[in-house]
Amino acid sequence: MDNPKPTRSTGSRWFILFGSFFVLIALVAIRATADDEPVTAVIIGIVFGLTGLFFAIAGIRQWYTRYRVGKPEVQISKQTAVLGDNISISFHNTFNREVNVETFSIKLIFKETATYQQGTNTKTVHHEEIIDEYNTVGQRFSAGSFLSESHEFTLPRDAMHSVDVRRNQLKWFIRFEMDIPRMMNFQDDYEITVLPELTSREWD
Amino acid sequence: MSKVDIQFHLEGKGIEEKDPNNLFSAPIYRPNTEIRGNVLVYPNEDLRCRKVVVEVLWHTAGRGTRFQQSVMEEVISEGNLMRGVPISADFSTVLPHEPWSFNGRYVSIVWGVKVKVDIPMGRDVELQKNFILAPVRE
Repeated sequence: MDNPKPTRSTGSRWFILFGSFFVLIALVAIRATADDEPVTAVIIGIVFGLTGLFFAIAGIRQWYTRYRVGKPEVQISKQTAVLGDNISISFHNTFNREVNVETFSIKLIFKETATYQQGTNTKTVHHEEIIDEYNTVGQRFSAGSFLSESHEFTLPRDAMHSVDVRRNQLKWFIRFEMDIPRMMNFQDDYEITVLPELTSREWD
Repeated sequence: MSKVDIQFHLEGKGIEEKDPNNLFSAPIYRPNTEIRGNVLVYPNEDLRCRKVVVEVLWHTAGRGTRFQQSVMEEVISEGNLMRGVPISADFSTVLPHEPWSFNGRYVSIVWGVKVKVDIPMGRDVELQKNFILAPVRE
């Protein structure tokens, strides 16, 4: 069993830093222009300040969720697999604080990512397909209580392998998700590299 | 009438056209098998031309910026083309193991054989015949 690190988690640090940076720009710009051009100062303050606040609040909310949930231990049997393989997954978490988890889910996801140029902007679009899903009924976890779940997914034999070329990606993920009322949801993704091979059939 | 008519004929050990999953009625080749074929280029007028190239390639299609990779490139003719004088050439190559053909919402993987008539100071004439690269799944 591998003990991997998440590929993408709802990390709050960058949101908070990005948001604070925008708020700082807003404050500096307001200070520099407030006396001569008060209208400009208000516009800059609203645009940069609100954008910064939005990101900073999102970051703080994410951080708060992670603080309450704790740091889960995840084990994945294979991080490099072939189509038809079974992948065993286990998730163990000790909660730092009381958390009301509405649903806990483990998902096998196939994700398409395409990046393209539109004028001077670079845009990226994603499409996720949930291939398989395991859900548990939620419950209220008190501080120090333990959540432990295991599941096994099978990579479909008729699916596509991982592809990662410039501006086009086809990737597989295992996603752990907690739906938490009145808080940002907890989400951690772990990438599985799926090779262009098939498992041999049992009767081969 | 176009400047040039291009015709393909594909064959090869890996070809299978009776796959129930083949919605596009394109020929299917298996990874690591040979693709063989013949190309016929028929000029309908005298044409200034640098070269005529046959390529076996795959590329991405969909929303993302196109990524393309050639697995075979062969110049089948160099110099000008004369009206009514056809160029015929056989080609063959062993297809790689991957990537397999795929049709997604934003990203697709398309395999094909392309013939390009390289015209100086003008628009090249190109024709691509697609095929599917996929393993036996059952």
